[in-house]
Amino acid sequence: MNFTDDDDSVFEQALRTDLPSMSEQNRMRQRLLAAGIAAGTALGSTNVAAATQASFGASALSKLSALSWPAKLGLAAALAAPAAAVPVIYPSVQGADLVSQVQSSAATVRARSVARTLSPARLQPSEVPRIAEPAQPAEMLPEPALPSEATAKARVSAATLSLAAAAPSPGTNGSAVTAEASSAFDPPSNMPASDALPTRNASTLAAETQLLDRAFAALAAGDRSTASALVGEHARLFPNGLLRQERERARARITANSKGE
Amino acid sequence: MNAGALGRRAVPRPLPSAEPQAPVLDLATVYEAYFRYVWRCLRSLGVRDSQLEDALQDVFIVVQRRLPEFDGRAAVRTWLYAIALRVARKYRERARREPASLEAAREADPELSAPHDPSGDQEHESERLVLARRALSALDDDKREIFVLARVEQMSAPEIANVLRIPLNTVYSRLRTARLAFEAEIARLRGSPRSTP
Repeated sequence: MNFTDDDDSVFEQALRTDLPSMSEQNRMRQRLLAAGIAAGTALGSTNVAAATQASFGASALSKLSALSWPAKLGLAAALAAPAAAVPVIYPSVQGADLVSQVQSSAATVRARSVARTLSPARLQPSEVPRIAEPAQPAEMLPEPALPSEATAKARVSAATLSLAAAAPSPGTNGSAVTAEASSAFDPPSNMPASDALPTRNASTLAAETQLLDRAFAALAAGDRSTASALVGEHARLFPNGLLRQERERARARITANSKGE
Repeated sequence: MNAGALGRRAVPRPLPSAEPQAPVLDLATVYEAYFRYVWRCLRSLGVRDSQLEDALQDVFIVVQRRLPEFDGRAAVRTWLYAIALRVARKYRERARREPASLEAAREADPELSAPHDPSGDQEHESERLVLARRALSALDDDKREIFVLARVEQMSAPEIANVLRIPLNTVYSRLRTARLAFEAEIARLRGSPRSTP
């Protein structure tokens, strides 16, 4: 028996379309981050960093308006210089500090329950803005015009702590369930753990998922030729992909559908 | 000992570099690709809305713990659903033990709760979803699980047999009765006699 869609009911389709909204996904991501689960770390820390940088930007603008004219002229000169010569403006340096603070704070939270999944080093290449050493502009700007490191640290720590406080500890509420579920299902184990995770996996799996989702959707809509083309495309692009079993299943269903007609 | 060594020699293993490289998974990757389906699966399997986030967290804690051991022999999806299924069972059991409350009564009857993400022209679909969820909640656990895995998550019979740890023939027979029960419940909820195909 093959579970084809030939006798699919609208009620089953309705159940299949019952998927979370983006806001629910984001909320859950934040919660996992707060609970120290690394799934939310990559994007979660990005969000926190972005929010921190955004609030810093607004703060910096208000501070800049209070600068003296010589200081403003100096900053304008620095900004007007060619990017190759002066690639960095002062706020970016502070932003980098904030990002590093976020990373270290996130790492602290993670360390409560996660010893070895995503290391802060893994986040750095994609999430830390590339910034050269500050040169002249730092000297032209008066120090009090920008938030101190202590202020930035306090802000980031508060954000991190509020996330952590908002979520229940994984060890209190669901720990028994988790332990039982974990012991109830023992996956085969012969794959060594690896800390050096290739960064392209996410995009590869996402691309695979998208291709096969479209194939299954086409199949559900009765469009076998499109489904077949998408499955073929998946086979061509990802011959040993993570979702190769799903691909074969889709192919079997296409064949079964064609025989049924 | 020697036989084993000879055996290994008789069937030379390919060089590691010649073997197809199983892609390495990390939790963020799994989360991005499968979160939505795990969410849907837990909901369909009867985890209450108020406990859904707890259950999701439990699933991903297990995934995080077990991911280093995952060898790719089973499909990632199958592996995830096996974890989700067991988490959902625990939450259902826990819900049965808890004293009845207004919230529990509301969630036990999905019709009383607002449909998920209702929006203008989707109203018809939302009504169907409410009906479908009510029909699901009327099934017993065995039927519900197999129905969700087969008809909602669209897993194959061998995959389901693997996840539920039951014989393949049982998968087929149980699914047949589950579908009949689901359709009968839908017909009952709609107040019309079930149409025979």
